[in-house]
Amino acid sequence: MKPDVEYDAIVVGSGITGGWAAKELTEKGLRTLVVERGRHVEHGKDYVTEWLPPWELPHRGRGDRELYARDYPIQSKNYAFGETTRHFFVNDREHPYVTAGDREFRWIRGYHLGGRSLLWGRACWRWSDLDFEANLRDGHGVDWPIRYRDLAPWYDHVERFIGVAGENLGIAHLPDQQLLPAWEMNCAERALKAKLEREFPGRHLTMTRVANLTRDHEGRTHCQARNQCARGCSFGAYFSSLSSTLPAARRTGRLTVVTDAIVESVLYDEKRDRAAGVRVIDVKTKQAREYHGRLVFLNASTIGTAQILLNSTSRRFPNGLANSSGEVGHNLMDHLSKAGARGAVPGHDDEYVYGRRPTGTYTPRFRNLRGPDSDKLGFLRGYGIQSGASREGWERGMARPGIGEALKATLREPGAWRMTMQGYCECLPRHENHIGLDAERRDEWGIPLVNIHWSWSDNEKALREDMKTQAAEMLEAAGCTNVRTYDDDAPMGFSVHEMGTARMGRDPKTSVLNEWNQAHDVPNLFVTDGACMASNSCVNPSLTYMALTARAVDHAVEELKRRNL
Amino acid sequence: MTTPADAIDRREALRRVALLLGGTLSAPAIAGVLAGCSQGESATRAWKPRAFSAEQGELVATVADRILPATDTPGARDVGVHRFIDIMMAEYYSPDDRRRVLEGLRDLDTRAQRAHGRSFVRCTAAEQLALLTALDVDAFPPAPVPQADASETERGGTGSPAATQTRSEPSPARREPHWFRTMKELTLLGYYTSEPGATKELRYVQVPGRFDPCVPLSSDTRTWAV
Repeated sequence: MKPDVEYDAIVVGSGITGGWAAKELTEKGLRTLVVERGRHVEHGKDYVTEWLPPWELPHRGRGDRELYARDYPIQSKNYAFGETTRHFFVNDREHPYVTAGDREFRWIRGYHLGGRSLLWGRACWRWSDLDFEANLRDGHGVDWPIRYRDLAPWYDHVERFIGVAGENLGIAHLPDQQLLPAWEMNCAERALKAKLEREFPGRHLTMTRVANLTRDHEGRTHCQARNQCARGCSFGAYFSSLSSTLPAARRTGRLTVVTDAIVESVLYDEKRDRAAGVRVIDVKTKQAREYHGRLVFLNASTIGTAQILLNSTSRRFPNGLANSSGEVGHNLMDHLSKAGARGAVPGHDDEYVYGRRPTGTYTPRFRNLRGPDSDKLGFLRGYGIQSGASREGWERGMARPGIGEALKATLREPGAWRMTMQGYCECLPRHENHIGLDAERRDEWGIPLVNIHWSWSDNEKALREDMKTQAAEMLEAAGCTNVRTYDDDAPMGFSVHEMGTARMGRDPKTSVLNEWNQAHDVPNLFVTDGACMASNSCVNPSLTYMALTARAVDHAVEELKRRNL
Repeated sequence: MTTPADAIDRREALRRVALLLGGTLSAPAIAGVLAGCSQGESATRAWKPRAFSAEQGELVATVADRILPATDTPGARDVGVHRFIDIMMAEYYSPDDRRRVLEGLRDLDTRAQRAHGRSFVRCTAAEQLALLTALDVDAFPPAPVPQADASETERGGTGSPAATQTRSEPSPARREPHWFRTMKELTLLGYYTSEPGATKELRYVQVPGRFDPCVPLSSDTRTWAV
């Protein structure tokens, strides 16, 4: 089938960056096609579990164990997965991938319109030059081709639209942001903050900056404190492609969305030396068809984007499109998390909360702030710590002795306060951590399976050990009792912050993208999802992806006008 | 309050969820969940358990009701916790888990016979409570007290760098939980996530609308169900 429409721009993927690309491209006047591999999801209407109280869940939240084991062995390990959210995760059996030596990698995916923007944790921090200069200063990876000043106005632009609640601290390595009023700390957290900051000058306990609205904003309603975001929110109270960017793009009248269409490869026109469009496989009919456009934006997620590039071969690019450097698929990173410390918070027995706050507290990075191993601890870079205090609920009764009227009377009242800290450790970019295409195995649409090779380096492990110790020390100093460290020894992918497989850089020989997220090899091809990242920082990455996307679109449209593409 | 219209709406809502969840929700499961929504004077009437025999179903209902009895609010039997346990045994737990729980129930009856010459359900309330309390002690043995050595005692008060040493939690032993733990866990889950359990015994607000970070606790403040 030869389509008669040629689009100004084609965006592959409708998640957090695809949505932003669509909004910016259409608002700048481009007729834009968004291609989504999963099903259509209608904001509000398709949030089918949103209004179910606990007693209307067949297994009261526990789900169907056999089904999970058979079809969701990986997805079901994600914290947001459950009886109310399963339909926003892929079926692992239908969407397989392989790993080297069968070492578990948790590739968490949502194949539907809006992608993982429906499921994300919503924490929004800016990077700083401590991050953008890290590769240059310690020699790992390649130097970022941009610095904080290049991205700062685009952070402003994105934050003003999405709405981020939080407090500015005025610290250089965690730059101030455009913020709505912060969520508030509960009584226990306030007390812990006071002691922690007194005992550890320079360290902070602050509210997480989060894309849950504390005020009505941009036509969306403020957060109702239900804390069930991943079911979907018809108030539009947290930022997602479905609540925010895709509606904005639609309002321009220049947006076309195609769902159930898997991009198999990017078409390359050798004569013009340009990307010509995309070849897609229809999920239902398995028929191939093409879409043509003057610009191609890849926003298919870090691993998905690399898979498409590697599968787009031609005479000029036998090893994958825009891959003359050989770096496509390489330098895969994720944060090392799922470790930290927990403790009991004495007192505050007569204090409680109303409502379910959709976020927690945070301790920004405090290690190696003056450069590589500047704290002389034997490791590079650092970590941030997510945390939160709450009172134990009725569930505590499952783990302790007691039955009858006494048990019922006890559980009627809330239990003790507990504080948990979980660190997010920066991961070094290393060539050997990579994804490739499996030589033999293909999915049911004929696309070669992703093959993932990964390991943590000693640096990440050293960061984790220090983080656990420091988390425990801070809890003890803040007055917690019964402090214990924990470590789930989580595999890569667990933090769902995978990035790095088509990195930006100054040199086309060692990087895939230039300072505008533009492929060195193919000027009308842009990659603005997590694949573009040259290093990992320790903060949650989505905000940076969004700012890079808006900046890249601005450049692409200018270049198109100058007829340089 | 449950009106017939509500029940129909719920049935519809559940069908939609069932469809969404891959159509795995059986008619008895829907009935069971609906029973959990209504105040159940008829909670055991005309009920055909799937994982249990009728006698075992009555035994489970009795055990659950001793764990969380009716007080000024409904008890486990009133809200149909036994139906929920039956659904979980039929649909969630493995055959091995089911066997473990059924053996446990048989053992409970044996204990009742031995101690009182009657099956468990025929024992007096006090006898039942005593039998279950003994089981509860078996299922939740007191945690071993960590050996406090001299350095640990010291570091509490001094705040010295040594005070930073912490023990890692041991990895949970991979052995089967005591059957009574499973029974108690399911009783609590079924009860506190039921409509009466969540809204009468505890507190549940579907749409809080705001977050108040520090609210004073009074003598009649209830735990949040969610």
